[in-house]
Amino acid sequence: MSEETTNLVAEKQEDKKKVSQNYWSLVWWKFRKNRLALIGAVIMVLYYITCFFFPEFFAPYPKELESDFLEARPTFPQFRDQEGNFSLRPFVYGLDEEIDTATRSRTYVYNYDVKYPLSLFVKGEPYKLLGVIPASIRLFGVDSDYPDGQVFLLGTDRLGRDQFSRILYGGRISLFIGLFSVFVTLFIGVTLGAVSGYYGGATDIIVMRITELLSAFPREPLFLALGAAVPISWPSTQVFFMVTIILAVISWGGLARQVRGLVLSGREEQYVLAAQSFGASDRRIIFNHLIPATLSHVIVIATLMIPGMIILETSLSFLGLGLVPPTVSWGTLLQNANTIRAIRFAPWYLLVVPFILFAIMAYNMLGDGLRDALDPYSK
Amino acid sequence: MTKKTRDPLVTVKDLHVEFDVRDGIVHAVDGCSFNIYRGQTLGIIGESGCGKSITAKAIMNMVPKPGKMRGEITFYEKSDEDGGEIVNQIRIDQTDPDGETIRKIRGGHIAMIFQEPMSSLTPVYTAGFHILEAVNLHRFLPAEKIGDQMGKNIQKKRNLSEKEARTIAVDMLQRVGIPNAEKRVDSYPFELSGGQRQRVMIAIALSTYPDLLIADEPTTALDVSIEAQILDLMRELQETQGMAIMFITHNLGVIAEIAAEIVVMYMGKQVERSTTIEIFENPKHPYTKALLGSIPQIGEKKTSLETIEGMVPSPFDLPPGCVFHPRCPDYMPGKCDRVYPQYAQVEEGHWARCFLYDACWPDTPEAQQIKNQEAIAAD
Repeated sequence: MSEETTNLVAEKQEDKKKVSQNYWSLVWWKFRKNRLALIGAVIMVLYYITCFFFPEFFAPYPKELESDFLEARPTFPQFRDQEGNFSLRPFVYGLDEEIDTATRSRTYVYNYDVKYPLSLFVKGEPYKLLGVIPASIRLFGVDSDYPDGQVFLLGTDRLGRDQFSRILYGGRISLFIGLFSVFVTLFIGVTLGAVSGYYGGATDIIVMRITELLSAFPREPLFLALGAAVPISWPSTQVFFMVTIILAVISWGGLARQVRGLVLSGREEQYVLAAQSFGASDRRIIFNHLIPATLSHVIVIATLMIPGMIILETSLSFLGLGLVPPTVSWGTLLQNANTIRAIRFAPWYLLVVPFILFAIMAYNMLGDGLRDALDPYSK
Repeated sequence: MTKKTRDPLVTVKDLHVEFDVRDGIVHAVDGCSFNIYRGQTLGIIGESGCGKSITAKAIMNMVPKPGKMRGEITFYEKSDEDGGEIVNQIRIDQTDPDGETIRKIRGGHIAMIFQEPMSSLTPVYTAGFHILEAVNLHRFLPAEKIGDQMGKNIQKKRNLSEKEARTIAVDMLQRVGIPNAEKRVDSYPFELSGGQRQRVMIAIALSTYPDLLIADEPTTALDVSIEAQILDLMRELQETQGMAIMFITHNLGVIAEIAAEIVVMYMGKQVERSTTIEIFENPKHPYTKALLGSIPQIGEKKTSLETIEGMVPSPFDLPPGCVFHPRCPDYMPGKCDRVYPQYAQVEEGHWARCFLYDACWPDTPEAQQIKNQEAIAAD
């Protein structure tokens, strides 16, 4: 019996602890319980480490390095050779060019006589880590004793560039464009939504009609028009920023409506009146008192919006309306796969799709988890 | 009573606030005139919806949207030295409601606390942050912190450092009697009880050393023991800081305790005004009498509570003549339902609006005619 009472007491203390937790630890608590969201978060962290921050380290080759192997098939690391000897150290076979006399097309086949062992932390082409730290160590590659050896995990493209490395580099642009354009969208959407909700009247009507116009507009022609508006002579960074702005301009409407709704109910709260009575200006009330209250909602919308932006960039670039080839992004890489010939003879071009797929799925899982977690009091 | 000069701080002359809504025009405040003197407490009583809160908001020039304000509200700004001269007269009703002038007055000279402490604090900020915001907005270091006369002006213009701000916040919280202020300064509103939140509100209001504190039913949402504590606190702080209080309530017990002078309002109209003792000892207007009569007395044996007959009329359909006549025990047919009485001094220092007193007959010819007819009929 006494054990039971101590249990009860312990339980009560546990309850007390629960009540006195602050908001963010409650959020973390709830988030941690969501297995799927955690997986999503881990995948995203991995993506950002490998693709966003250190692709130079993780990719075996620089993105513009053109090898002599054009549209070569992937060379998979092997542990067991033709004779059945097992070696713990993986190796790749060399590639032999073979011309098909009937179609006059070039294919590559494994040369089982040549084996190049792979190593971790090999010395490769020099690069600058994060753009500042000079380095030349890469995560893996053909052992430096075999200068002829090549490892193409996912094949090469028409110019002989390693597809795997390019996917990692392309991830940097694609992931960044997702974040950056969502950031711009948030800025436009939250500001306009909050202003529209706070002032009401004519401001509200104008802003809301603009959002309706945007959402009523057929999207593809709008992309075409905006994409065509980007001059072809622009340098790639400028095109990049233009594309993010296009993405943001198209997608701020929904966010603005949601923020407006939240602000509309928020402005009737007494703390707004109180802030006003202490001499706070309208700007201060909107940005310091009303918008923070909408933030947990906005974070969720933003997280769920990022994958959409990545997809949008990819499809725009695939259609040739977004980023253009010297820039490497998942969209421009996918552009390689837009012919029957490419899919028939070099299907490894499509291997960028799983990368996009996993990133999108991970983001969605993360966003769903955040949505549940940021409202920790709901059951 | 100590010798307190009747030094006006805010004068309100013939204030009208009208709301033009779909069903007609609501006269929320209809001809209110009173003065608030430095260091004194003015009480405003009346039932719900009689225009008390709107009057308070009008003084801050914070009348909500469709409302229009007429009349004269003058704020007398004094220089900071003790016994300083009046340096500035500001017509509050003529300021731009979002302008710099009124925002300096709000919070800086006139602070306000509200009925609902539960929602008066922005949920995303700590108690300390709220105080800091008010202090920083008005860049007004408390007098103790200011060094010599020379340094004064310079010090007042600068922003607080983080450390100073914290000290001030802790100090203010201590002054309003929050236990464990060093810890509470980092508490979010949801971690505070109702009484503590109201104390924090008072601390915010007092942190800028205002000349006038408008308390809009500050204790209505609190239980009786907390109410007593808050009232004691306000009285105590009034004595130490010498600020005026405009105390709005519908609770006669509270107002008897705290106010020096009382204004009674009914349906947006000011029906009586005098010192607290006069109002309680010698009420002139039948409405005031009825209000006082409806308080149960200890020791009295009654089977039911005394109430005021009838219902509050619809603001869209006010009765002709005196608005109180359908419910008035002293209703005089032919007078009260035909002429609207004038607000006049009926005794030394006692104003009322009722035909029981000859002074209240307006000067218009029709009114005089009715008065003469009545006189003839009486003979």
